[in-house]
Amino acid sequence: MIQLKNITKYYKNKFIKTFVLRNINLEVKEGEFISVMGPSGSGKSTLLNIIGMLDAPSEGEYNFYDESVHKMKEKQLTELHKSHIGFVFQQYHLIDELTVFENLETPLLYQKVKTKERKARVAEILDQFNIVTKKNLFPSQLSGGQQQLVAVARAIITQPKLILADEPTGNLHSEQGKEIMELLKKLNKDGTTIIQVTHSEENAKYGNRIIRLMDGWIEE
Amino acid sequence: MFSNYLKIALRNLLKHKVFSLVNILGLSVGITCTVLLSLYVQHELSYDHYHPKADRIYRVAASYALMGQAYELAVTPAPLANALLTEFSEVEEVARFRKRGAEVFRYMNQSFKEDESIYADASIFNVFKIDLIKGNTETALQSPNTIILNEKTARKYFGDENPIGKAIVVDNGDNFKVTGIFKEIPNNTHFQFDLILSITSLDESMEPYWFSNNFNTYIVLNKHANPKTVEAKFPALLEKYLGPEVEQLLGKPFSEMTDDEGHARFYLQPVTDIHLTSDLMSELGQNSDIKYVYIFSAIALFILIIAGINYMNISTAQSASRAKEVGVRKVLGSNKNQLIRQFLTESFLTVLISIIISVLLTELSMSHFNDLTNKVLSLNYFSNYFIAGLLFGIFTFVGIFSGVYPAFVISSFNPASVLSRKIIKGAKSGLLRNGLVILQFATSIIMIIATLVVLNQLNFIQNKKLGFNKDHVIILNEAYLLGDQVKSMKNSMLGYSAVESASISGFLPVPSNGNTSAVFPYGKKEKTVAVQQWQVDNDYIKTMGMEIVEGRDFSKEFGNENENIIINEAMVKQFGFKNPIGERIVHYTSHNNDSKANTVIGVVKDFHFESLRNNIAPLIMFFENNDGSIAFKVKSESLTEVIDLMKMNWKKFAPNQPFNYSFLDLRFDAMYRSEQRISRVFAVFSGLAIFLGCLGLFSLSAFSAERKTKEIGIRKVLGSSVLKIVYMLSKEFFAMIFISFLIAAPIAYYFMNKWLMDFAYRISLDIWVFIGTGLITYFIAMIAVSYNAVRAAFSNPVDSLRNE
Repeated sequence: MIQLKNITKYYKNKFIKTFVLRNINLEVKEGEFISVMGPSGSGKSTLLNIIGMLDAPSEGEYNFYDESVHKMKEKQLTELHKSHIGFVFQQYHLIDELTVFENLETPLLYQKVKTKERKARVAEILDQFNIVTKKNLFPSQLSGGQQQLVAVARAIITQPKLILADEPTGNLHSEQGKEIMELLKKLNKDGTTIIQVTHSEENAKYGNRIIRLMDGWIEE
Repeated sequence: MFSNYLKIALRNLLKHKVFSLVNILGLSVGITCTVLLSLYVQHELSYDHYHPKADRIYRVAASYALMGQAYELAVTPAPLANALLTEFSEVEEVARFRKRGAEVFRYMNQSFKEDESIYADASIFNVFKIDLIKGNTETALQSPNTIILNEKTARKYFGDENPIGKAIVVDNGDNFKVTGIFKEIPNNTHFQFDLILSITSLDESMEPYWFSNNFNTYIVLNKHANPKTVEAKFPALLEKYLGPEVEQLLGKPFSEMTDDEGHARFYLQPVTDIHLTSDLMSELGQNSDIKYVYIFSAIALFILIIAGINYMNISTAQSASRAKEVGVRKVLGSNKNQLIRQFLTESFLTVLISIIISVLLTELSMSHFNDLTNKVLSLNYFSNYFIAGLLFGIFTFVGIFSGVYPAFVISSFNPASVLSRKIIKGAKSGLLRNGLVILQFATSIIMIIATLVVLNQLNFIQNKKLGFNKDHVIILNEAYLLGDQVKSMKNSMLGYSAVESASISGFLPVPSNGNTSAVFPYGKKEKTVAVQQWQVDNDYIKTMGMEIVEGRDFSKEFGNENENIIINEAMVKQFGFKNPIGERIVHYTSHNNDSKANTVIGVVKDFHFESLRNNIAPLIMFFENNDGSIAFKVKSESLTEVIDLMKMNWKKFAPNQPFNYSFLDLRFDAMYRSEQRISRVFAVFSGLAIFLGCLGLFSLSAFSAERKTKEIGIRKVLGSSVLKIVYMLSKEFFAMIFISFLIAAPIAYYFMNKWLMDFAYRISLDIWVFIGTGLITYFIAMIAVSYNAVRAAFSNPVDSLRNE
């Protein structure tokens, strides 16, 4: 599904190149649940952003379902990622001005799903996540765990093949964190490929493969 | 999708209440100003376009000069019209007006003084659009002693009676038969008449004299005629008709007139240009000036730009708080175009709300604006396509221009970096933003300087030593209505202690009667020049507070003064008299070329009898009866008392005649009405401009304070004082204001210098006006900026550091 070949990422600052990722080679198969681990600044989030097509590598090849991502223009990237990838962030990143319902609806809007079907799918997911009563609330009216629940719901509403989760439990206390991890595990069981970045060994165990990053290198 | 954009746009407006308010308020005020000023400009530009033949109607204007004294006239000789019609094939139609000043009209026992009466040729209906409600355009003004009235005036005299065929008495003399009623003349024409009398009633309309100019002559050219060709034929026409008269007058051929700085020219003025570009002697009404159309348009544009810049600046500054949303939306699959569309929706929504509010504001402020500009404007959005189009233009233009830049900046944020970065900086547009602020303030500063300079000049005019005393002089108008009781009226009034002196004369040192004709020093016909000739009595100089610098005033002690004259210093200079007293000056007593020499007995110190825009021209005072008006010099505390006494005596001496008075100082002020108006307009709109500029500055400083919350917190923890923090936050803005000032000052200097050139007597541009304006602007801006700076500086550092 994903094939990274010699991916390198650096930032040029006048005369100094600061390397974030070096020579990353990685292959992810459909149905995997991968945990990326490593200390702060080791390049975990950058790797996730590159896989999620939010950031471009400086060098190297990236193939997604045999398509060469590194050769694509921004428009194509947007098309590709919006139909295949869902994101979950540590800071939840819900849109503050929109209600739960509207937040869930937004990705479908960008996929130009018709009104009727859109409403149906949002209703379905609200039901599935048990948050029907919260649908008219704004993010600021929810607890952190509830917000992350909505964020996960939003990530999967487009039925993506791949979910990228950047420390999804980082801002949650353990009880809520556990709930989210169970949810991700269940999604994985249903066939969604998941890549998560985490600090916690415990959460990493939910996955079936761990990748350790150190100063931009993979040490497996 | 669109409803989603709209929803988020509305919620964003509500979330950032202060900034939305600043944006919408600023734009609404800006749009309102633009609409009002555009209405004014539209109205000014519409003058005389409604005549069906407007593009072919011209007025013949005359330019004469004798011995360097020039006269630019809106009037031409009586026989000109007929000569043009018969001799110029290009001329299809001609019509003349003859304005004689206010006259008194009477029907039965009711009489009124009418300022807007005119004598006109019967052919005016073929030239201008004047609609008759009753009567026949073919015959209405054909016969002598016929008159047509507009509806309003007809109702005033006749009520519900049918006026046709009734007789109106003019100036207590002849009967004029009403032959028609015409529809009110629209206010966008350069003449306004309530009563039109047939020109054939005046003998002078048929006289063949080319040297006397009293008729406003209008012509309609053929569809294919070129006005330039017509103008090219004027010199030959003048030579043919005016030539012999000039030769007789000057004693030398017409062709040699130019030798002594003399000329005689006719030229054509398109009727549609008269209101805005013509400022000649004997205009039919007070014209405006194209300059004010430019100024008003510029102000409208400036204010709109200032308001638009505010929106742009606030939006880009606000972009920091939108960065996260943009990042999330990109992650959720939005492409750049969709984001641009979303932000444009927001800016269009803001502009739309502003337009709706400004429509309300326009309605509310219309009457005030009319007071300010002395217009009767109103607005119908459905029939005024220009304004409807303008609003649509503003909607698109401001919507796109103020929205596009922030939209592009914000939508190009990289999602990965805005989402992972903890502190999000505002869009990097500091340079552009600062540039725009500088532009705003430079504009405001120019407008403030302009206001102050205009006010200073007006103040200078008010306090200028005029050579006469305009205060506490009451003028009794239309004294001729007293008939042979004029002197009794004067003497009766002099019996009261409140009246210091009184003089009977229609000639006043403010716009009033004028009588210009040719004179020359005895025996030196070649020095002929046309000058003002006034008829005054022996109390005139005293009543007006003028000063005799040589010789003596007219006086009863010397018996018959009819052979004597008093001249002003400019006259002395014109003729180069070394010893003016005893010199003799010849003038013409009638059209028949009879001349008479009078002896100079006194020289009056130069006084301003025209606007201060002009230099003082030569003038001669004759000791002759003229009962145009009576001037009373009164004790300052007795003004109202004297008016009551005047009224009482008037009733006694002139029963049933309209009583009318004016104050000399107010008539003096009236000469500068357009300047006063422009100064008020400037004051109001420059105030608004600086208000809008400060609104923008206020919100920018709020963002700056917000962005630097953490820095302020750290500095305070490290022991910085509140004052230092305020300084840190404000210095950037003050540098901008300083640069604005450096840009604005020379521009303002250039334009105001140019404006002052219109005045022969003017102030010099004072450096303090500029420095003062700079300081005022600085001070106002400081209030706007400091509010946020001080608030930020006093905040508790613990709060600002914790939320990071």
